[in-house]
Amino acid sequence: MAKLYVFGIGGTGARVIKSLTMLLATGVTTNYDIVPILIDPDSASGDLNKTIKLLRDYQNIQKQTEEYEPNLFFKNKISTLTDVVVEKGSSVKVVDGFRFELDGVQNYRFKDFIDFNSLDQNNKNLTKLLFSEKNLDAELEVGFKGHPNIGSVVLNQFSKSEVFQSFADSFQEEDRIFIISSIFGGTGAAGFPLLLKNIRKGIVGGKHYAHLKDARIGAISIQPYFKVKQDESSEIDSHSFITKTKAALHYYSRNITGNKSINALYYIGDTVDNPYENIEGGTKQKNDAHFIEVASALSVIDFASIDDTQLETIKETATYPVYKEFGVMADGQINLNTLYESTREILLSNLTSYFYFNLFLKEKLNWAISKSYPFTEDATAKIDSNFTHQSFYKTLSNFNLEYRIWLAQLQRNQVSFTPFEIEPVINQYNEVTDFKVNTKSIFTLVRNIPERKGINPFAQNNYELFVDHLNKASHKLGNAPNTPKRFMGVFSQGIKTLVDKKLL
Amino acid sequence: MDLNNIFSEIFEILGYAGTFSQDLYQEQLYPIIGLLGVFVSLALVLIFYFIINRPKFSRWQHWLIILLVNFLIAFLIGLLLPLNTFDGLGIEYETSKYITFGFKNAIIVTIYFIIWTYCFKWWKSNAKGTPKLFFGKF
Repeated sequence: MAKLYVFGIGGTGARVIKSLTMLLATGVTTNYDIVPILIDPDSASGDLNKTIKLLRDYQNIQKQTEEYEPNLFFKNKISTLTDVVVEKGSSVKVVDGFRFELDGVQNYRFKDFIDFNSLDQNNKNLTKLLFSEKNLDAELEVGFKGHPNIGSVVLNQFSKSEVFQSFADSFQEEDRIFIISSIFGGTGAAGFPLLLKNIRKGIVGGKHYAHLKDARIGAISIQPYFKVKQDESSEIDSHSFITKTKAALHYYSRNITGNKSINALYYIGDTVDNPYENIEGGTKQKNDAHFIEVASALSVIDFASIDDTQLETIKETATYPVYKEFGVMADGQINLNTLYESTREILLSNLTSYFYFNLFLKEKLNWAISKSYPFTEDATAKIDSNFTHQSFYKTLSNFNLEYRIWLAQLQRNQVSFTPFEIEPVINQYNEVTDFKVNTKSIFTLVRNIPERKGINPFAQNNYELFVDHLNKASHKLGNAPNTPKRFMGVFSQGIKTLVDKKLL
Repeated sequence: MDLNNIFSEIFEILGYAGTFSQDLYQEQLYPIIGLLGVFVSLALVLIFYFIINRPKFSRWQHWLIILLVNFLIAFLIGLLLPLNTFDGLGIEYETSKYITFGFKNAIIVTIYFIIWTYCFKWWKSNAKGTPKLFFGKF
């Protein structure tokens, strides 16, 4: 299968990949094996580590349920660069998990990184012209804190790394590349043009890579969509976001769009009302999920669906470069009905199906097992309490909790994305820990989409109807190679008919 | 062997009641009561598994309720049918004879109900596998 290498640069890159993972889990698919590569010097970043954990959980679930047609969730394969390299017969472990480890940033200040002290006086003076004292003294292990001038120097090492070499070796003609970065920060704004330039150069480690030179490359440049609270002691100041965006766009107009070096470039941004805590990096940098990240993740899906001929590249130049923006139908709170048709088509059935899957597992699976309903026992691969204690189900439960938190955060954030009638559960530190629903009538939970009711007053409803559909799906499916596959197959098929009948 | 003989054999497994049994045989009541029992129990089993067919009414307790309904109907058939027929013919027996036969019929029809259950409990239904008796659930 062809691969789509998705580079997520900086904290925003990690968060968009998190949303992408959530969308893929709900059943959104591409014709590509997705290979996420996260580039972030801030190894302790809460956002980054959460995304990596989520990707690993996704892989575990996907691997156990792959090549089983009835399952509709976790369909799209996600691989690490190591997986791809190993698949090609090499045994070199190029990258641990999904993250590219930047050398020389741990416990280093920027001046140490560039060996400032060993420069001669003339070079020292030139460096001082380009970088302030604060820049030179900046600790690198928490990122570039909104300074692309530092980022562009440090991130340049990526193109010389073993990871980049392996990426170049494994890249094939039919593969594609997508780069996710924010334009208003430090890491992303610097990393994107650098990465693009290095790919288009097509020379890595002295070797020429023709496929890489003319690769089909897409990217999303995320413009400001949040502010940070004003903090005198922090180097991050959101007042500079717009200025930085303008400067970067100016640079892009000459070096990216101007020279047609990209095949598809997506732009997205939002007016900002909701300031985030001002955290310069590290474990505390854990921002709520935002709809902009979901929409940005959709750009990856959109890019994957563009026809090869439209992404033709000759001599490092895109023949038909496209530039796209994202929009919704109305201002304010966003729900599934305020999305344009193409977005709605991707999100409505997938998000809704996974929402109900999640809800049933959280609220009723143990009850259904205790009642021995046919779908739990109707085959040799039984869904019983043994199964719920196995690692597959535990991983799935963890993933599902993250999905619920993600949905609740999307609702709590500004702009609020509220596809479902849920209430975030918040702990004492103001963190979302789950969501709850305040009704027993579960088919009224999709906002602005009414429940479809028949005229039969004795018709089954709520979880009883749910179980009825699961039983029917189970009967239709028969046995399966193993319990995880049957479990996912029964729920996928049962929920599909249920959602079609009651809502869509 | 005609139906009268078949059903008389079945009913008399639970005891022969002398002239009462002979009269039932003479008046061809065995096949009527017997066939009624077969069809009533079949109908109730089909209703439980395929007409009601709801997860909320699919446990063994719910099956037991239908079985008791089946028992009651069979008892009333076994009590009232001979009573009305013999009454019309001017034949008199003690009430206890009718009640005993009612119970006999109820027991036999309960067995039919269980047999039908084991014919249909494997079929696609929300009550599939109920009750989890004798042969395990599935």
